[in-house]
Amino acid sequence: MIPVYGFVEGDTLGLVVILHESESIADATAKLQQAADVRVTPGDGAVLVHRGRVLQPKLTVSAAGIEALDRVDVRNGRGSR
Amino acid sequence: MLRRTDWAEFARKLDWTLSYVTEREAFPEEAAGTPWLPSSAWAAWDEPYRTTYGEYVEGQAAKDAAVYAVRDAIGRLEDWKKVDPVWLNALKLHAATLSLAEFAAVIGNLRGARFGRASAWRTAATMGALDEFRHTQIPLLVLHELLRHDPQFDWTHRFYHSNNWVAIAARHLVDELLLGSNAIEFAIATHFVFETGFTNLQFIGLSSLAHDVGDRMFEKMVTSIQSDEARHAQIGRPVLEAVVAADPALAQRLVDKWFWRSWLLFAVVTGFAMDYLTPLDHRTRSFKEFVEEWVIDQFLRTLNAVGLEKPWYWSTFLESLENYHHMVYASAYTYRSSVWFDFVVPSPRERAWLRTKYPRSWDAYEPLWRRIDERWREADVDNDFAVHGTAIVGFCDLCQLVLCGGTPSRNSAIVANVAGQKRIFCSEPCRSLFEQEKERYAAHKDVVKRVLAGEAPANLIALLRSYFGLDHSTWGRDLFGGDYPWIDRRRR
Repeated sequence: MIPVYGFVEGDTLGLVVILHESESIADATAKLQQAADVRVTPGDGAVLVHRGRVLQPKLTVSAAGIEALDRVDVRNGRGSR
Repeated sequence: MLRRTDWAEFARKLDWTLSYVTEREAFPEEAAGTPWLPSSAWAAWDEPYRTTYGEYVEGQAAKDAAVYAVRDAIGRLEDWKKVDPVWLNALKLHAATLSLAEFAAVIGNLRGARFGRASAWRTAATMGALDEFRHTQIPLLVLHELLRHDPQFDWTHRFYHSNNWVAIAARHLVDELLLGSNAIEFAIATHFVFETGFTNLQFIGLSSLAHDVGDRMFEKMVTSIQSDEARHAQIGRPVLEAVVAADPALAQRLVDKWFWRSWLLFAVVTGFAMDYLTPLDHRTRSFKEFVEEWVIDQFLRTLNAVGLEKPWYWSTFLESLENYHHMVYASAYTYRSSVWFDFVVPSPRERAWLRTKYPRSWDAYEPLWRRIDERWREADVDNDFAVHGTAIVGFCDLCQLVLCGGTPSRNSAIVANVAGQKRIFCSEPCRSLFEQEKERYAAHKDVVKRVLAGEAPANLIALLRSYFGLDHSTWGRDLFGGDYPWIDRRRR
């Protein structure tokens, strides 16, 4: 389990979300959007940014190099529901 | 009988020549403060009020009599019931965060009364300590009446004794500011920055709104308190001037540190009250406009007069003035069950007002409130938790408040390795302050670290009940249960 600080674009606060090493970046992104869902409408095509890099959605959390208590950002894609 | 002029200065500036101990032993640097200067450097210290003890007692008795008279006339439960229920939540926030903080300020003032380096400073600080007792007792007395009406008012006394997340943040500030500071740092931090720069916002700005709202009891209470604050706040400037003369870099560092820390507290306590919990028709100015008058204009002029610069993070502060309390209010609204007062969704008219007052930032908050409207529209009636966050919230390792720095498009939180641990800070000023005094702050655990260490429950309801000290009768709700005319839930 990897607790991270997650920030969703358009949101007002940082959240702590638990990721798993084998989880895909796409799933991690959706998990973060879900955590902020009460305030921010989840958008399509969102990307996860870690240490200034946009992560590939098919990578796993561990392959992307995300470590405990890192900051990750969900940045909006073009579309939003 | 002696005339006042024959004895007042002698009594106020009573001092003696030490013979059994040295000056450094009588006023050790740990308690008296840095820079340690010989008594000759403090000989000219003075403050403008020059109150004698007799005058103090007479004046305070008259002020107390006036508060009692107003309480007897308009402080009964039936009077409070006439006050707008939204406004009462500003009162709960004020009462919890400030009443017992005033009690802690007794200790800080007493440190000045014993270790202040000038006799006139010690005299003024003795009266300051007595003032702060009064500032604790008045709200505890006046608001006790409201307990019969609303159990959330129990938090007037309970707040600082709890592990509620706001209380953890407030204690982190107040313990250092009022209990842990030496006499010099206390005088600069509390009297100069906190009381000169910021309490005017709460005690003058908010009391004028209380007048407009028709809450004459609150207005009288805080006006009476402010008259004391105005006097003992005068201790700060002459202490600051002495430190500027001896060590200007230290003076600047102390002002920078305490301005930022005080700002975050008042942005929440006063920002919420002025821009969200005061009924729109009674708002005369926005929180930002009050800050511009009382802080940016007056405080900066004073800083300039004593030869100091505005704090190094001034551009961050100005951005924060546009955003921070909006960020925290929207966040806290969606975690309202974690606090002891109720919230409201700003109406379309209020949002239009906020847009005119915050033209550079408000548009970023509009989608959030539309989302919250949408969530209420879909929610079952009477299910307050349907529009509520469930994820764990992150907290800043310095201020212990939620990570609400920056803007919705770019949160300013910073992760950094400091003092051997990965830590997170809501902003660059918080990171910098932590770095400067790592040994002071390193051992403190924020709420998340307490949860991860198994010291606090991860489950939200268990956290609220067993750790934050709230229950179904006291935790915050949407005051109207999400039932707002513009949301139109009943059409479904």
